[in-house]
Amino acid sequence: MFKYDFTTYSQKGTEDLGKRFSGALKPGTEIAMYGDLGSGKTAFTRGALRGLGFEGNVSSPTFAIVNEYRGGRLDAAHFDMYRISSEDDLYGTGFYDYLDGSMVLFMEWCENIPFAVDDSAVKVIFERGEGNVRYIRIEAPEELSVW
Amino acid sequence: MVILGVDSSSAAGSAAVYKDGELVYEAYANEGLTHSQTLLVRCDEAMKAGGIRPSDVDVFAVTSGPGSFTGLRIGMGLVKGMAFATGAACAGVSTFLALAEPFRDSGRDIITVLDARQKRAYCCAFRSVDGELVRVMDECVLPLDEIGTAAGKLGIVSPLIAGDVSEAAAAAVAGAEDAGEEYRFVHAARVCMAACSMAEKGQLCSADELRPFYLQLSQAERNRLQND
Repeated sequence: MFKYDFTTYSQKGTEDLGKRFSGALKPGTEIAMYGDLGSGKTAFTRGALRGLGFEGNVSSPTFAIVNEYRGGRLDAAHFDMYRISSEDDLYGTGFYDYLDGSMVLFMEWCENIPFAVDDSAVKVIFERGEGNVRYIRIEAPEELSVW
Repeated sequence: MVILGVDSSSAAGSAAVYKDGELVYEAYANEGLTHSQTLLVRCDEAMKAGGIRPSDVDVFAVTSGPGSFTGLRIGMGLVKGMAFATGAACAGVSTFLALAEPFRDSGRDIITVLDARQKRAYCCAFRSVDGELVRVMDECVLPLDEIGTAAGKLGIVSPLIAGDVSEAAAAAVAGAEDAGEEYRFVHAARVCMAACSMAEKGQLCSADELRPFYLQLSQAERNRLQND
């Protein structure tokens, strides 16, 4: 397990971190994100999606559950598991149909789906500090080439 | 009787035409979940090859589950749409039955298994008796290494195992035989064959009555508790 710790001081800083992280992404990479409301998960994802070449709006799919981004360096899907609490719920989102290794999967609120997070996933843990300060830890099963 | 069979319950997708007592054509591909783009094209191809039009179809048959959530909805939607338009009957064929169908005359016990992740499988079992497939195990979810014990309790002996995790399941069940690569995924031709026997038994329904069968973990666990 490779661990990387970062501190960011603004939303833009969190996005920039995500953008840099995107350089390490491959088809099928699963990114399991943990952390409270407003801790930076969506900003980090937005930065990573910018890094993959998506310029449009990126927001948390709280009600849609999943948004897809196609046509960049890699295809990506952005999940919000905030309202998911069981394996049945997750099945009903079509989540398991995304596990064919073709897309990058960004998953917010993985606290809710411990049964579905694969050992091969990259974990990103967000914590709020004072004001805009965010502590972000990335745990990866393989070394990330971008750091 | 003319049957159009459709399967999109997994990453594989296919369409087949059964006409006048025999299979005429099957289009099958295992290329990932692109069913929303390819399944209708495959139906068209199969019907053209069979020399039929949608209005000639007596029974629209589709795998009703368990399986991929998105895949099942695509197959159901497609078949319901066509059957609604022509007024023909429908057959919702259990994915398990479609997997067991090739072994209808084998005289064997057949366990069908579908991946339920985390070393578990959705299971069901049939016994081939005089050309009929008799269900001997209700749908349930079991850890792979418990299938053998569960099957033993039901008097299932030397079973053939078919389905996408047949290899792993066969390795975990004493005396079992993996049916092999050809029987890992459903083929629409087998959906047609199963629908044919369902038609003989009066088990068809209308487009409106056709329902997907999402065997889900909690539901399967409840079934298992009832059976224990």
